[in-house]
Amino acid sequence: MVNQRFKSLRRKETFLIIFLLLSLAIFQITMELLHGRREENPVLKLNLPIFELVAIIIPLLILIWILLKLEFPFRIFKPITIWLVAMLLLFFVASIITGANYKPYDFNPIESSTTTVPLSSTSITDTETLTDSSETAPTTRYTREPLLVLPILGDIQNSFFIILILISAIVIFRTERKRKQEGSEPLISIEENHRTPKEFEDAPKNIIECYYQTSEYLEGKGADKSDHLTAVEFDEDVEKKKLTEIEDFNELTDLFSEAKFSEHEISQSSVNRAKVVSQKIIFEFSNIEIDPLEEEE
Amino acid sequence: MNIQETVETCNIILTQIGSHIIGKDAVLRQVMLCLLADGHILFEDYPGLAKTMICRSFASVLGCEFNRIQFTPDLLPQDLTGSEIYNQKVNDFEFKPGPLFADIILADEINRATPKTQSALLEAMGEYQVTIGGKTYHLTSSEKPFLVVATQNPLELEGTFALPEAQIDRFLSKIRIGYPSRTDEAKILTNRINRKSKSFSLSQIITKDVFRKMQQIVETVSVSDEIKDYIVEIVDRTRKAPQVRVGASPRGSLDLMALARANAVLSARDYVIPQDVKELAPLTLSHRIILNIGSFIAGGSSEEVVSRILTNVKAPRKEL
Repeated sequence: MVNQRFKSLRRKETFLIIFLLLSLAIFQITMELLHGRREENPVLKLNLPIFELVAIIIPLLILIWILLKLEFPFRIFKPITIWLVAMLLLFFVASIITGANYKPYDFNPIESSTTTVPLSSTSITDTETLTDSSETAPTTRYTREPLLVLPILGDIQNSFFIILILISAIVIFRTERKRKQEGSEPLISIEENHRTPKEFEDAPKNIIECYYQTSEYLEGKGADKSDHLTAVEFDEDVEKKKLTEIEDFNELTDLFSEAKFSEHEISQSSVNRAKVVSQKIIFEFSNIEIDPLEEEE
Repeated sequence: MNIQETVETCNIILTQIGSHIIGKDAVLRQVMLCLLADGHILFEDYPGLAKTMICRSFASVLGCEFNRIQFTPDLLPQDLTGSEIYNQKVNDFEFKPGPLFADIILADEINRATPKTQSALLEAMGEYQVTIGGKTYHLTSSEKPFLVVATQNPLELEGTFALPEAQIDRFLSKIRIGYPSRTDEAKILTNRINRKSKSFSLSQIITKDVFRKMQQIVETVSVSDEIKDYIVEIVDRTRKAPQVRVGASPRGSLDLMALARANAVLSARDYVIPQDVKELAPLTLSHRIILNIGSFIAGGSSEEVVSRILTNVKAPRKEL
């Protein structure tokens, strides 16, 4: 069975990765050109742009991997995603409060003997010096530094961000490996989204349960969760959004409608068919094979 | 006659009429549903949109007797119901039935008649009988249908008598036909050229007793408790909506259920699903709702109110 999960996600995620990388590259280059940050950055004094890019790209790739594992944005409400997004927000808020990473440092650093004047008071508070410099002291120069923010703060934030991403990756990787060793389902997988179906003696209830299980799963993948939707409308929504490549969902909808609203006697073959369709859809993106014998039933 | 045969017959009927009434398949289906549900229809639209032609076509293919009554301000109730006339030969009064004693009646421009005449028609619609000279005459039987298709023009209101809400409630649904698309209108012209005649005739497909049996099939359609609750909830919301002065009556609930059952038959099912109810609620309920003055002035419409209600009522889908 082809791994349809990545087949389906490929287009969206490739676009996302390209978009993020391009944005990052443009952002980095612009900042470099505007502020000459590399000159001032005590961490990246190597003056090799590729190092800096790699330092950002690797955590970014890890972040994308985490998002993929979390099936972002379909499962944005998972606690771990909320935590990750909260951390990102915290990072950006911290950046805004403490000053951006790229405060307007002097483009050309000057001699250590120069007088340092706070940015906010440049050319205003030190009137005398300015007057002097224009008339008698041409060697006196001024540099501009952030009033409140030390240059190292931006790097602390970056480091914090990278550490957060690495911790997230390690946590997910370790837990998943542990689960695999134990033989249970992967931590972040499609299967996690659906609950174990209950078994009823009543045939209609089994079909209804299959339908609920499948519709809950499809809702998790982005189908409309509105309560006012009828089963037919929900089916149309699933088809419109192309949430599943399995075309049998409308068959499951019909079986559900018959089981739920008719007075018909529901046969076991209908129950089996509902189960097969349900499993097909739920395991659509995983490598789990449907038992062909069961499908034939 | 079973459901499958009913569906096949309906499809043949709709195809045949649809070959002459171009681009109005949805309207034809709505009319077919109303006929199956044994309910009266109110057409409200501009002149020249084939209201009469639709009515006449259905009467032809169903093998029903058809009468058209042009309503005017001087039309009297006796002109509809008929009256007792003195017969000199037998030296006694004898009943001469009026045009109401047909199977399908087209009450054209019903709002042009006086309230007295309207009431006579609407009473016949509700009771399926008329009483003249102390004697009661039934308008329907197990072999004979009685369906009224009324039309009213929403444009010319001068010299008209608007139907009271209590009387509008007797119509199963109010159908708007609407203008055809450009392509369909061109096709209508082509058809007319090919036909080489102003009128067209449709051959009879079934007899009226078969049609009555088809109506009886609708009665066999089951409605689960959840569907009943869904209907009641929708109708109840029409009474509680803030934009509404008067909501739909229990007759609205009954009619919605009847139409939903007919829709189930046309979909080859013997049970109603929520989609049947949701799809047909605007058709059945919107003409029964009276907006309050604020909503009316604000340009609101009863169709919008019903649509909003439908997006707020929980459909029976998620509970086991």
